[in-house]
Order: sequence, then structure tokens, then C-alpha cells
Amino acid sequence: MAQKTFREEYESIGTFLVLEILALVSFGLGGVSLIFQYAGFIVALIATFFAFKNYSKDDLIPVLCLGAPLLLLSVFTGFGYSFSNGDILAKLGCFLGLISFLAIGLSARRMKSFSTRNAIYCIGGGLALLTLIGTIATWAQYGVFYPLIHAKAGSYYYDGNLYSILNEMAWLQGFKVVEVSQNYGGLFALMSASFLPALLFVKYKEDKIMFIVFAVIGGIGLISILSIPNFYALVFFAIAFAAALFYRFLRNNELAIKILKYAILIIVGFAGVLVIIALLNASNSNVSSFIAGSSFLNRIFNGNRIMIVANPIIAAALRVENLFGLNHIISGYDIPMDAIRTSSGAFEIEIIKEGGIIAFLLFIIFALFAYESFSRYLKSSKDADYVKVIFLTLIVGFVFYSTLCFDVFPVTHDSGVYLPFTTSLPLFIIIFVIGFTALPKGKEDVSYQKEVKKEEPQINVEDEYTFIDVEEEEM
Amino acid sequence: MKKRNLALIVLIPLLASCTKTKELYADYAYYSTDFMQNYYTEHNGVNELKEASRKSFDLLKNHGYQSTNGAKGESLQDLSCCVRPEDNPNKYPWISSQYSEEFGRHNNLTAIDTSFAYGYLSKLYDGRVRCEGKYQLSRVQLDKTGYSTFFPKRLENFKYFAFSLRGATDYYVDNKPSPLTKDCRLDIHINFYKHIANSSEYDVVNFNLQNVAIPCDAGGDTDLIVVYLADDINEKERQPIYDDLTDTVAMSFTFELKTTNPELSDDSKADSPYHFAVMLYEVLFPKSSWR
Repeated sequence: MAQKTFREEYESIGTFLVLEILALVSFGLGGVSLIFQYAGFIVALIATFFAFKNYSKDDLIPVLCLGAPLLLLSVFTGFGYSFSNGDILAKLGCFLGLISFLAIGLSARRMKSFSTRNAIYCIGGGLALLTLIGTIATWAQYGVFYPLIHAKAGSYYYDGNLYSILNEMAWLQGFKVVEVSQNYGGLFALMSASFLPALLFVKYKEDKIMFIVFAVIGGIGLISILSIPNFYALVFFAIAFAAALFYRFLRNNELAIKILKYAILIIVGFAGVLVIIALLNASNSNVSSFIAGSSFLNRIFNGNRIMIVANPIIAAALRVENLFGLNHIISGYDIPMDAIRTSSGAFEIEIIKEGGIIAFLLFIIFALFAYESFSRYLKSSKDADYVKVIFLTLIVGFVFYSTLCFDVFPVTHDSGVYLPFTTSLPLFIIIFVIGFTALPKGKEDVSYQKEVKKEEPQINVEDEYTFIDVEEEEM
Repeated sequence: MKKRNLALIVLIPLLASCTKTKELYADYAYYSTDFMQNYYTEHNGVNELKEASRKSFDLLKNHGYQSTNGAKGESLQDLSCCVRPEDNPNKYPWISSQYSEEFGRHNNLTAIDTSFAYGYLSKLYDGRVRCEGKYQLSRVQLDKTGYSTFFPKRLENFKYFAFSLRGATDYYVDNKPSPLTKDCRLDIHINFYKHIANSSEYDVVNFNLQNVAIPCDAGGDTDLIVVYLADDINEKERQPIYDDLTDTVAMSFTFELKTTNPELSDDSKADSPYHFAVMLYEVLFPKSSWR
């Protein structure tokens, strides 16, 4: 047997660290993202070290296309004016977070001993455990279906202030259970439920353990969503499930794919027009007067919970002095502090809050590259279908949910707890997935992990890498 | 075994204690612009407790209790009514220096024990000794029947208690000032209930504060009334009172309006042209402990 290099000898340590940070990020530990930003950076360095020799020139384009906009975006969110009051550790952590998890994803794919199945178990296990604890605590404190049961009288007093149980639930925050918004807890439940569609591709008789694991992870998420019930999470779960069904039954149907492509183009185009009108409405008085004249347009661009927060933020962000983030020092009282201290619900608006309008444009560029990369992955990768579908449903659920329901002030009784979008742990998971699924163009079927033939009776754990995903290799 | 597991899963939601749904209100309960809709008259079962014994103490101003005497909230530091007597500077060692405007924020019951944070009456434990721009959200509006409540825990130890309040009426006639603006006096009755072990009965300690002058219909001004159990109650008697109040589990607050006016009633159910209410902002047990 050839002597193993240092990298080969100790790569399993890097694999273990990646899996561990995925599990911990998924479990959350109370949204203390600063710890994970630095831990993620260290793990990213280690993972990149072990995977370095497997990077090739072909990887340069996906790494640059995804990494460059994300790196620049992180410069804006980390060192822009918006966090000018933050300390240097917080700024640096914000800068490192996203890019580190992208690097972890890219490198994990290129580590020979890395197992996709174990990564999925770690992500799902963390999400499901957090969701389970939150759901049981919610049942204990509120009962089930409480927003429906107490719809007519759902207000209560805490510390002399009036709150409503109709929008809150119990959640593990650090080492104690606190009241958070359903929008916040619902995201974790939705991501946990996103494992359920994978059962379309896993047969109980063929792999009992995997079937049970996915059923339990997904079941916990779905039960959590249903037992509250969280309407938005349910709708977006249905959309994610529909995406999985499409992939299961129509992925080879050219007509269906063509229709889907046109549908996506129409939706993206429509969204683009809406964004442009929203920008003009917020910044130009003639346009805003025109829109205010129509009750229908007024409701879309002014009279809803998202736009009430978004309009002053967009207007401020389009000022020259705020291009590098909302500049409190120069803009002074022109900065809409009430809007900044209110959760818009839309992650797009939160990015503008956190990094300014250029950061938002960089995010759009990143999103376009990510879409192209993930589409290629779905179409051409050798990964098992259940892996693809879990990643697909995770991303679809996250994007839709975070567009309408992302809460940056989740703790009901402490409005000072601010969890910015660009440092949120669910986003780190999604960024990891985008990095993990980014493959060099034309070489999507390349396998970095050691080949295992189906006929081989057993893997010798001493001679072979220990975390080989047999199912993936069989595909 | 499988049936047992299934039953357990079904039972989990049913076993829920639902602590957060025990005390719910329709939106903006007691938050009406109609004065009469805002009276809180709940006694939460305390008025049905069986009394085993009752001790009463009548307290007079500056002899058992002190008041800020209508001093505005902003100037709570200036308590000319509460300065130490020059002839005995040690008599009220706590009084003049500690009653700053931060007094409520630092000594409120929620700050002492977070179990006081839940429920409508958390308004009385949140440290807001005056309006602070919260209007109805910061106070409990009472008629003469007052209110009663169980504490979330037992009182283990305390040195004195205090409460902030003002008077208010629904009197509004052609911008004429309320008849009580200049002279509003109450008799206040406070009961503390201590549960007798292995019994369904309670010992009651009753304090009567007589002829208490409070601000009324004068904006958001409140008085801080401090019951320090001194002077009227000599040293020998004081300690037994502390002992009597140890393990207190409930309290009630009632009052009578002493200022007479035929058009004004302190009974919210009375068919009277105008009604009076005590706006109670805070109940404080500074430096107390609860278990």
C-alpha cells in the first residue's frame, strides 16, 4: 500500500469538523451566529487545506462566480456603514460568515472522505432537534392550534406590555426557552419538513434507516407546522413539495421543463418589474404620486407590512451617501430608524438595510450564478436523487419563506435581540448547499470521493476512506 | 407496547399546562377611550378566601406611611415631604436618598422575580410609577371595590412596601376643572393573606391608610405612598408584623373616596353623573424576596 500523505492521513479530521459545524449551525444554539462565523472560518481553512489538491482550473469559474459577489457583499455588510456602531469582532465575523460557509461547501465536495449522506443527516438532525424542542415547549406553554382556538382573545400582558400569542411560539434560545415569533421558528420547521419529499426517492425495503431518518426529520418539521398551525410555512412547504414532485415525475419531460423555464422567466421578469417600480416609488415623488392615485397599486407598493418598512429603507439607500450602507453619521436624522428597527419580513429588504443598495445588487448577481450552478447540478450531477431533492426543497422553501416571513427581531419580549439576515444560521446552511453543489461546467459528473463498485462486498474501513456514501456511488 | 407509545404521543399535547393561555384578553382590553370600560374589578378568588384571623393596623401620614404629596414624577428626587427629621437623622435612613425617578425601575417586583412579569397585573410590577406615555397600558383603573390577586410566589422577606397612584374622574364639563383637582382624599385598605398550612383558611393582616391626599385630574401626576411600618408600630410590634406577612400569598386593595361631591361616585356600578377611579400604577416591595 502506498504511503498516505499528511492530507490523506488526516482528512477525516477535516470531514468530522465540517460535519460537526453543519450539525451545530443547524441546531442553532440560540442564533449566536458570531461563534459560528469564526468557527466556520477556521473549519473553512481546514477543509480547503484538505481539499486543495482536488481543486482544478475548471473550478476557478464557479469559485469566482459565486465567491466574488459573496465576498464583496460581505465587505458591504461587514464593513459598510450600517454596522458602524459594531465592534471590530462583529464586523469581521459578519465579513467572514457567508464566504466561510461557501468555502466549506466547495471544499467539502472535494474532500475524498466526505459523505453527502452524513452531511444531510447532520443538517437534518440539527434542524429536527431544534424544531422538536421548540414544538414540545410550544405545546406545553400554548397547547396545539392555539392561534385558531384563541383567535378572538389572544392578547396577554407581560411586564406591563401587551402581546399576542397568535403570532408567537416557544423556542430554544441558547440555554433557555423564550417566546419568539412564529415566523422565526417556522423557518426551522419548514427546513426540517423539507426532508420529507426525499421519501419519494427512498424505498423503505431498500434502506430502512435512511427512510426512517428522513421520515422522522421531515415529520417533526411538518407536525410542528401543522400543530400551530403556521400558514405561511405550510404554503411554502407545499411549494417545495411541488418542486420535488416535479423533479420526481417530470424532470425528463421536455415540455414540462420548457413550461417551467418560461414560468420562472415570467416570475423573475415580473419580480424585476416590481422591484424597479418599488425603487422608483420610494425615490421619485412623481411616481409615488401616480401610484398613490390607484388603490390597487397603492396597496402593492405602499399599503402592506413589507412596503411600509421597505419604502423608507429604499429611499434612504438610494441616496449617494448611503451607497455603502445606511450612513448614520452623514445622513443623521434622514435614516429611517423606525423602519430599521422593524422587521420587514423580506430578506431582500434586510440585505439593503445591512449593506446598502450595492450589496443588494451583488446579492442579485450571486443569486443568478447560484441559480445557474444549482440548475446544472440538478440536471447533471451524479448525486443521488434524494440528495438533490433535499437540497432543492431546502433552497425553495428558504427563498420563498424568507421573502415574506424572515424575522430579524424574533424574540417577543426583547426587541433588542437583532439577528441580521446575512449572519443568520439558516442562510449559512443554504450557502453551504450552494457551495457544495457548485461543480465545474461540463464536469458535473466528476466524483471526488473514492469510487466504490456495487459488486464490492464490503468496504474495508482501514484501507478505504470511512465516510464513503455507497448510495451516491450507485447512482 | 406500540399502543402505549401511540397513547403517549397523543397525550403530550393534552398534558400541556398551557401557561401562556391561562390569562388572555381580547385586543386592548381595559384600553378603551370610554372611561367606564376600563375599570378592573377582578378579585381572582381572593375575596372568597376563608379568614381564620385578622389583625388590623391604622396608619397615619408620617406615622406609618409617607407620601410624595403630589410631587411630579419628574421631580421625585425632590421629596420635601420625606426628608429626614433633623432631630433624628437615623429615623428614616432609606427615604430621602433613594426615591429618585429611577426608584420604580430598580425596585419593581419583576426585576426582583420574573414570575411577576406575566398577566394583566404585571402593569403593577413593571416599575412604571407613572404614565410614561403608555396611558392605559401603564395603570390599573379601580373603583372602590378595588382589586385582589394572588402573588405568583410566597413573600419570604421584606422591609416595607409602596405603591404609586393618582385619582381620576370622567368629569368633563365645558373645560371646567374637576371638583377633585384641588382636594382628593381617600381611605385605603390593604389586606395581605397568609395561608395556614394544612388548612383552607388564611390569616389576614389589614392596613388602613387614612385620609390619604392624592393628585386627581391633574395630568399624569402620581403619588408614591410608602408604608414603612414605623412610628405607629413600635419596635416590639413591628417584628411580629414582618413575621405575620412572611409567606403572604395574596393581597387586596380597596378604598373609599373621602371627598364628598353629590355628583361623583367611587362605585363604577352606581348610576351617577360622574365617576371616580383610582389609577394604580405600581405596587412595590423593595428588596423583598420570594420563593
